Amino acid sequence: MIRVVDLHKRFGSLEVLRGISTEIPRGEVVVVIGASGSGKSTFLRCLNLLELPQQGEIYLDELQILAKNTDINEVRQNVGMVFQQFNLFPHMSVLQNIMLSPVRVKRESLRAAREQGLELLRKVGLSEKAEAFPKQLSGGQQQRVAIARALAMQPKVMLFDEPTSALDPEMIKEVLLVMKQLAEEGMTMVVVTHEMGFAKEVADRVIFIDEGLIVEEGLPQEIFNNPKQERTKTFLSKIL
Amino acid sequence: MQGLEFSIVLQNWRYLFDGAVITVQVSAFAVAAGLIIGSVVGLARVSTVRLVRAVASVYVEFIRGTPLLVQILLIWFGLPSLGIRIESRFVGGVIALSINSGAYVAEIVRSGIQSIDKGQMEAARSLGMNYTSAMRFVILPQAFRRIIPPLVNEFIMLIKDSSLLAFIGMMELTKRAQNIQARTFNYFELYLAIAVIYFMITFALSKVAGYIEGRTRIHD
Amino acid sequence: MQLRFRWLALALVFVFALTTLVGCGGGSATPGPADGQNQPPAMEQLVMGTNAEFPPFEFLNENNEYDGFDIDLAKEIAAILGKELVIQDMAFDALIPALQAGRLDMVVAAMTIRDDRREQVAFSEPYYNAGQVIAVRADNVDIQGIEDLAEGRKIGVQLGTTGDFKAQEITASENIIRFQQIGLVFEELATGRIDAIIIDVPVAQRYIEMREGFKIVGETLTEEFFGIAINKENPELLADVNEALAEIKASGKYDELISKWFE
Repeated sequence: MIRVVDLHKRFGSLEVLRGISTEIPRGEVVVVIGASGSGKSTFLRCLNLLELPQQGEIYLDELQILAKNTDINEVRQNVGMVFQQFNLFPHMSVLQNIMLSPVRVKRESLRAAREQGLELLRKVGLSEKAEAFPKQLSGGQQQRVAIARALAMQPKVMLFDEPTSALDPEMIKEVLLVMKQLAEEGMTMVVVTHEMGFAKEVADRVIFIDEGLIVEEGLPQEIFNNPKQERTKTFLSKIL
Repeated sequence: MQGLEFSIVLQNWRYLFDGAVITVQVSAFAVAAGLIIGSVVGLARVSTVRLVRAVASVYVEFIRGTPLLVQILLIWFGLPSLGIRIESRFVGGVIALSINSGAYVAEIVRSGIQSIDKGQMEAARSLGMNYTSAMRFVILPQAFRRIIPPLVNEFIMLIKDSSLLAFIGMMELTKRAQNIQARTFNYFELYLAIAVIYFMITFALSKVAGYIEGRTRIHD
Repeated sequence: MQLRFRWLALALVFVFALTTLVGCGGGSATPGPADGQNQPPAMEQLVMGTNAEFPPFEFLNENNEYDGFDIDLAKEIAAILGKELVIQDMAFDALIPALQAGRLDMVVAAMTIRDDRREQVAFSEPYYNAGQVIAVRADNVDIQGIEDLAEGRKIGVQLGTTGDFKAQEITASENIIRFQQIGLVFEELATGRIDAIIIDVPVAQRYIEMREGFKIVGETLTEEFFGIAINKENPELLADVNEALAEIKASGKYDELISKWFE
């Protein structure tokens, strides 16, 4: 599904990614962990080209998305993204947020987009908020709308960039629940998070990134119970 | 008669009123044209193409760095020597004010766009929208709400600045006051009268701006 | 003093105070009383107002000094009266209010003696006879005289001048284009947006000498006389100025100035 080969990303003289390679098969849920500044968010943002890497290859199915003739906008339609700060459009209602891209980008009919939008809202448990504006929702509700908005493009992959980091503790659960449900439906997911409970419970694989490199990856129970690398042990001892 | 002769203002109220109408008209046309120029230039100012950005910023810096009066005189008396002669004083005035206003509106538009959180553009792009669609459906609608109050402010500035058009003989409010003064010598009364008229117009506009600002804040 | 003048005076004093303050802040070169230690005992001042945009009567020469027929004349008068001449340059239509407000002792500004102005200020004996004349672009063949201006021709004038009033006699208001500066009126004529200018003879001659492309057509329109304006409440100065004018004429100095500036 996704194959990353030797990815490098520099911001000025700072090399944030120093050669990341991995493969994510269809239906897999990958949780990326690491200290802040380790490059894990940058890695995620490279996957839908919000950051352009200087070197390396990224394949989505068979398509090399870094190739010059690749239509970035089309790639992004297949890669949904959920942000730490939700980034809902404040001037639109919840339903309009969800319908915007299907209507404007995919040229779906208003009616079809509306039906799909309401269906997605039902799925994230916010049917009654369709006409509300983002400002009127709690953080957890906003993030669930953001997930529904990303799903409206029917992506092949969903990227989550610390989706619960900006939330109050009591709202984290409702968002993780939606994500778990999504995983159970077989969605391919790459999740950058500090929620180790979620990683243990839902992830098929955990990747630990430090200083721009994959230090260790494997099944959650291997990484959490029996890490092989010293750096992994140090990191886990700090957060667990 | 002792004291100030405000009767001179009353005798000429219709003449002055017509001038005030011209003042508002020329400013309104200029702010509308300035909005078009300013939107294009403002978008150019945040363009990803360096040359486009450079051209736009030369325009903005030049206009903001030179006196409006000099711009008016250049357009009215300078352009004819290049073979471009604007016949109508009203049109000439509108053009001069529009070109001036365009630069200031461009800065309003630019800062309006830049005041929108970066995450909005990223979210739109991550949904597969191209730059133009993201601007049109996500960034500009939000930016536009924020720039309405400064735009009304710009309109107010233009109404005041349009008095400089008296220099090229446009029969707006200030010019009409000067014409009466040249005949009657009632300087203080007439300047006071047009000051009051200018103030009434601009005060009403700033009230409108406040009202709009209050309304747009609801959804923000 | 009439209440009206008190208001005007108050406003003008306020403006004057502001400009003086700004002037001091900017390190103005005007010698103040504080640094008068090394100066000769101060002469009494004769403050003259003018609008130095009206060559050859009053203008700023290439050295940025006030120059012109009126300036020379005023210098002669000041010399005779034993006073120090101070020149204040302002808009033409601000001269009379400034005089009334007591900011000026006299106005020497190619000002035509007219009855409506006489209601506001006193005038000296006439010192110059200036008729009004029509100036057009050199390539113009349609306008030969005043009668050709009547029907819808655009006439340019300097706001509030005799030419302005003359234009109002012969055409509708919308055909008169008024500018604050005479230079702009000629610029407008050059662009072709107006057809003619009504202007004092010597000024027209001066512009035609300096810039190509203009000519004078027809007869001199009016007989008119320039006078020195003085505050009505200062009859002593009026008498002094009239005496000085008589002396300048009698001594041959006047003819000297005429030939210097107009021949």
